[in-house]
Amino acid sequence: MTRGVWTYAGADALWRRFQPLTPFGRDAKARMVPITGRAALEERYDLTDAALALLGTLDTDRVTLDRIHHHLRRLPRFPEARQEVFDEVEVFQLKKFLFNHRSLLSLLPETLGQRFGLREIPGGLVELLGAGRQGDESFYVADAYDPELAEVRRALREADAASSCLREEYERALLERWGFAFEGRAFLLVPRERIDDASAAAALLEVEPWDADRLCVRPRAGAPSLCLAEETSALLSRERSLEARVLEALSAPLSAALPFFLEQARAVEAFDLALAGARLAREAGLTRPVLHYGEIVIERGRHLPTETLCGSLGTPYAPLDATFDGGPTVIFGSNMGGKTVVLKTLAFLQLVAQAGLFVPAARFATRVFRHLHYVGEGREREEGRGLSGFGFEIRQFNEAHADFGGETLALFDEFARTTSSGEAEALLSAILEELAGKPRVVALFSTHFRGVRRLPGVRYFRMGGLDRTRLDLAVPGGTGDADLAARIRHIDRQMRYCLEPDAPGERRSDAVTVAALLGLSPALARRAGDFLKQEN
Amino acid sequence: MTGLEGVAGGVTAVTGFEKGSGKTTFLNALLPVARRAGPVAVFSVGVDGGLKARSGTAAPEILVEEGDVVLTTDSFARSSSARLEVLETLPGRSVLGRLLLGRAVRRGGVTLVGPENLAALSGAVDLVREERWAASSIVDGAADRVTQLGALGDVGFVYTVRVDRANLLRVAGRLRALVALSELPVVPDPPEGVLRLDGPLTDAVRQGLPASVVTLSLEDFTKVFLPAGELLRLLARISCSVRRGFRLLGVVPSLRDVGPEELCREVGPAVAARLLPNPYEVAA
Repeated sequence: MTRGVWTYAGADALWRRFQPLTPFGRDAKARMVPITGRAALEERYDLTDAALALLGTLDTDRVTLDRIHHHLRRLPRFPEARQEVFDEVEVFQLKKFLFNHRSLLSLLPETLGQRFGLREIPGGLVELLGAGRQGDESFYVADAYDPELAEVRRALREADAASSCLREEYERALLERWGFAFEGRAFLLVPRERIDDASAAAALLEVEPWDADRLCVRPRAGAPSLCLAEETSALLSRERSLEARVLEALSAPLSAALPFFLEQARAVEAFDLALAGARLAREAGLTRPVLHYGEIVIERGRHLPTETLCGSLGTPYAPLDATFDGGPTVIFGSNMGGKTVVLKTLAFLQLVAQAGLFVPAARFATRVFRHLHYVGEGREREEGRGLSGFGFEIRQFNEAHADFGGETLALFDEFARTTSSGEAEALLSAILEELAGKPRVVALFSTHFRGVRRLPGVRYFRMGGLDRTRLDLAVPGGTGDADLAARIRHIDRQMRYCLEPDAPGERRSDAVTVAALLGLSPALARRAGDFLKQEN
Repeated sequence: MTGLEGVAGGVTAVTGFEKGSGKTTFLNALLPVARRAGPVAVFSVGVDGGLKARSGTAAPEILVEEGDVVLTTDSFARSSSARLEVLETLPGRSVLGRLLLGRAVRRGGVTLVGPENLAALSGAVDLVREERWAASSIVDGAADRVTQLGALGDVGFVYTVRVDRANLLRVAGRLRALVALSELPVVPDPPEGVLRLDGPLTDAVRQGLPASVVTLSLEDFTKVFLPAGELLRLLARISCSVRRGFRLLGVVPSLRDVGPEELCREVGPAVAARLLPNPYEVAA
């Protein structure tokens, strides 16, 4: 799949709302690779159905659902490679994963957990990583891991207490002599007159001038303090090496359990994706696609970006009903008649389905395509710098053509519109002829060129167009943007957005009427109509 | 300390106009004030330039007590004299290692290291609040990150400034401008007719303002990049409001060869009323 077809379809409109909660699920979403295996897709749909069933049972138990979401959100990444020694942060990550994974398991029905491959991580790690007084989701090398470590820390506490005693004694002496104390501050700015004899004060304070009025004083450590500091430094160094020893000891069982962690991360990813898909299916009214080898059937398929746009414009939105078989289909239609929306709706539904999500349609039966291509306006042009619009389209076509041997969905939106109609019709006819013999390719062409050849194996449709039985040419008034919005609403209300079989030789054009409805001068519209009649 | 009542239980940013204004020094003195409401979480914005360059300059440490939460890296946590329990890791990695939120299980000194992007800092502050790991939060806000700190939500600001003979006039002007900004009325939805300025107010933008403008709505104080004199002239000429308020808790001056009375005279009564005592000063 190229990024172009994704952008063309506006698939981000739904993809943005797909919100996995774990880093594993978010990574999978970020990869955004369409699934091209039918079995893999069916498995994704089955898992989403299982998650939907879970959501159904939890409709009356919001607390459990909130707790499931809570633990999913708290599952962290962890190191994925075995290591001789995991450091404190890595042990923390594994411990936090372990706790939330276990909590998640306890909230899910056993059969559902099994369905996703969720199971306990063996090895008694919860107890191992919870030694001492520490939280379920935090970690430090507690005293309980090593008696020698506990002993060193006891000595550190004693040294700290002794240091506090010395400090208090020292502060008392300062208070008695000068009436101030540091109280934890690293230095003080003292008026010069407070220090009667600066050189004598040097026994207790480090004194340096600050400005004309004040001195900057810092505590001067006495010999006992220095001894304590040295002792503390040695103890801290010993503490670090003992902590390293504990971490090394913890790392062996963690390394042994790492394959289980990785397996469970994949299981969590599957559950997270399925639950996110199920939530989205409920919120957006999505249904499970049907995968088969036959024709594509769309019943009330919705292109969500267009539906949203119609909502904001206040115009009715017509979902799509259509059937497309293998080989090429040509769709004719007037401007603003909805040809492009038909193509976009199919692209949208197909991409969403192959992304593993349910789709906005009453029914969407489709094939699984290995390749999806879009040829037409709107694709990124950077790569085609130096080419004309036509040249760029041919390049796009060549990419698609290379995949015509396999299961491919190719959408051509007004292909070759920038060249002459005769040449465009010739090109299109040649492509249609080739595709007519390739039922594994589903190709849709929207076009204005009615001169394309009528060929066996090619289906021809047209958009319903303006409803001439109740055509109202009186455009509502307005100015500026309001005028345009009113005109668009007026046109939309008179359009029939549906596909109808197109018979050869049929000549019906809405373009001049649409132009008039969009504000073309009535005189010009009339004259254009005259010319059209003469030609016909 | 009077004026710092909102620190205990709130989010406070300690910042200054430039590097070396004594932020971390003041922050250490502020911690006991914040601890009145319970454990404190301490953050930093970005990585100290000296640390980043590994220039060998001593890393400024803060002193945490048992229960305090601190944002630092795994390597600084290891070399700290405090012992930290890992509570959370932040996404990504700073040049000084993996960022983590740790809770002190033993008091001691820790070097603060912050994330390079505001979203990560904001996430960490929110997380501490949601998890109730600490009652108060203090952010050591580098001078060039004030704009980012403004987006943290309801933050009280304390400015630390070094004042000496050479910079007295310049600092006084900047303080007058700062206090004037903090006293602008907060009008989240300015009425019609008020010129609404989105984005920074720079000298170029000021010069481009129509001569007819009499009322101007600014986004917030962090988006004002005018020299102090220009700003004060603009405020005298145009009635300004801000859409998001700015809680200035006070200004802590560190004076050198400048007396407190002289500073008060130079900055004027509005700023003088916002000056906080320097906790490192011993009274005469």
